[in-house]
Amino acid sequence: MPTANRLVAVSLLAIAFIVFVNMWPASLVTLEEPGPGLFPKLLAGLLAMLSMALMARNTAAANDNFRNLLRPSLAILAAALLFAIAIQEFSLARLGIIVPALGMPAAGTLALLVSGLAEKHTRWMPLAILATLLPLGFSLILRFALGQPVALAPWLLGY
Amino acid sequence: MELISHIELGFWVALTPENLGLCLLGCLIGTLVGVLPGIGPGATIAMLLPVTFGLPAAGAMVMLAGIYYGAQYGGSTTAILVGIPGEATSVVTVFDGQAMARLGKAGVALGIAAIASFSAGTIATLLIALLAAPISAFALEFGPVETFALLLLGLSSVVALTQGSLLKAAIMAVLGLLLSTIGTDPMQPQLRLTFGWTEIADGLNFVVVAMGLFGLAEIGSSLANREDRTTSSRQIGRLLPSGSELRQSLAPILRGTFLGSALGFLPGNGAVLAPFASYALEKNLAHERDRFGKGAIEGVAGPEAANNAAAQAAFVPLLTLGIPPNAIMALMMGAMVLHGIVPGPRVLVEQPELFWGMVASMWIGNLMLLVINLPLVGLWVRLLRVDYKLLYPAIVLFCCAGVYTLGSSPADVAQMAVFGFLGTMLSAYGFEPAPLLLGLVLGRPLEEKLRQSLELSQGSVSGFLASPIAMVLLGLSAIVVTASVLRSMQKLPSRPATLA
Repeated sequence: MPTANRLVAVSLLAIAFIVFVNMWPASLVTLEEPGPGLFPKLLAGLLAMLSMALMARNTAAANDNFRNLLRPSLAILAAALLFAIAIQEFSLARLGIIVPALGMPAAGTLALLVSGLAEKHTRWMPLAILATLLPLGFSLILRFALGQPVALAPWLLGY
Repeated sequence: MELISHIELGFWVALTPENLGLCLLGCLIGTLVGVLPGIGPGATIAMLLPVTFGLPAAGAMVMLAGIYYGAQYGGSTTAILVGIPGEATSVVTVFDGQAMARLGKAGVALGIAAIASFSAGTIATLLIALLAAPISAFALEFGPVETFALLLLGLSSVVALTQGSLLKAAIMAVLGLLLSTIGTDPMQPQLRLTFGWTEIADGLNFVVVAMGLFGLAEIGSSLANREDRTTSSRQIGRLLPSGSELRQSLAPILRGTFLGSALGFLPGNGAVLAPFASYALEKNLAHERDRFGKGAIEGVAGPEAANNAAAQAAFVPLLTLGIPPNAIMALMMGAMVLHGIVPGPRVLVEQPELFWGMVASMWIGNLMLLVINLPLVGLWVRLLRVDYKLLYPAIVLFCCAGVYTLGSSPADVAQMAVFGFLGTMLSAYGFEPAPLLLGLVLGRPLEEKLRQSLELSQGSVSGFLASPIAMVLLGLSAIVVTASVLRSMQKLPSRPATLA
């Protein structure tokens, strides 16, 4: 199994390569008139060298901490992405997927419930109560107290 | 005389009802954050950045600064009562603070921690007032070459002095610099590394990245590394130290203050190093060293003074040179930029009310923390029992909603989610987020000064060597990096992990 360091190093080498290729047309011109390509290319080169040094390090494989982290980090990622999808209309025309705008209270409720998956021993009843009340209260404060243009329930109220 | 008029201006600004209220709010939120598990001042400042948009610049900075040094107070409360440091800067306070709590002297420990922090804050604020004008005046003479060298010194010092692997810190810094190049070129109307995504044509939003790396990422790490937070069941007891306890603490407080001020000023994690250095110093100077670890009051007084002095002193390079010495200051720098303030020596000249208002509010904030924290210690003890299983979903909501309100853009929330995930996974393997954030913040000015320097010297590197100041600064960068490389090659024991 590749070590964590090697996985990260390969990813960073790929990033450096992509940057170099992407910035190729933005020519360096000359040092007298350094163009937009100078800094990114310098950094890509430096990143590539550091990544190779990292790859050369001999370290242990991914450890148990990785398994402990995977569940919470994926759950938090899913919760935030679900919030982003649900708060405004989201469409993937090529796949025929359309998610109507649910507004902040509903999007927040979904996000809170999904984030509960991050913890193995979640207390679902208190979380459900929190997920119902907190996003609603927070949305009302944002809209009416702070004047933020937050949609409350477009599918119900029209705003 | 000029100093007195500046301080007078500062108090005029800081004592307005609005700024007093914001200072109090920042101190209370900071203490709360320091007490509560799984959320640090970095995550809180990142989450509140969108809220500060509606505030005047001075008020916003006063509130955010209050959160930072308020968290130092809160962190020491959990260190003493629970035996778990609320913040990295409170690790050392656990050694003797918890021991004092087990001896029934928790109140005295809390009291001396508060008094030491206030004393150190007062002296450190005075040092800031004395040093700021001369440092800024010196920095105003800098041209592009000197500024480039200074920024490089700041970034390389933070990388070199970050705990853990030097190589990984360097990688994160370079990655941060690379991320700063995304968007429109600073000197020509050309898009770079956007891959056709119009959402990032203006570059990555600093707030989005910061909330991902410090808000969401911290949740993942906290859930994976849960701690038992049983409070000490003994009575807190009297809060005020006796006369003899105060006399015993006086010298450690003074030594801690000056040590913390010196370390906090330097780029790197001076605020984390300072209490360790103070503890080691006090233990070495003590007549009976074996009292330490068993409830020696000097073991609380010195480190608490050191960590608060370092926290205040960290503002000096930010406010005078525009160099954030740590991740929290990088967030503060981001907040200044969001309010249209260019951090650096010009702040003192062009916006003296902002600068001196912040300095004065630091002292007022320390006074507020001394007065309110001790009577509220019972409330903080109850808050220690807040179930993290209900706290962290609320943090997720605040992060998502906060980022969304920046520009009503779900793409920003998605970006934050990705940075949060990457931040959690990377930090698990020793890739700390602080150098990345510093690279992101310093990248654009670093590039601008580099390109200006090359244009002025017509492409010749000798332009950098022609300036004695630039040569000294570049030489210092080389020394700092070389010393760190040698240290890592000798495989010295690493210090405890950084918590932002």
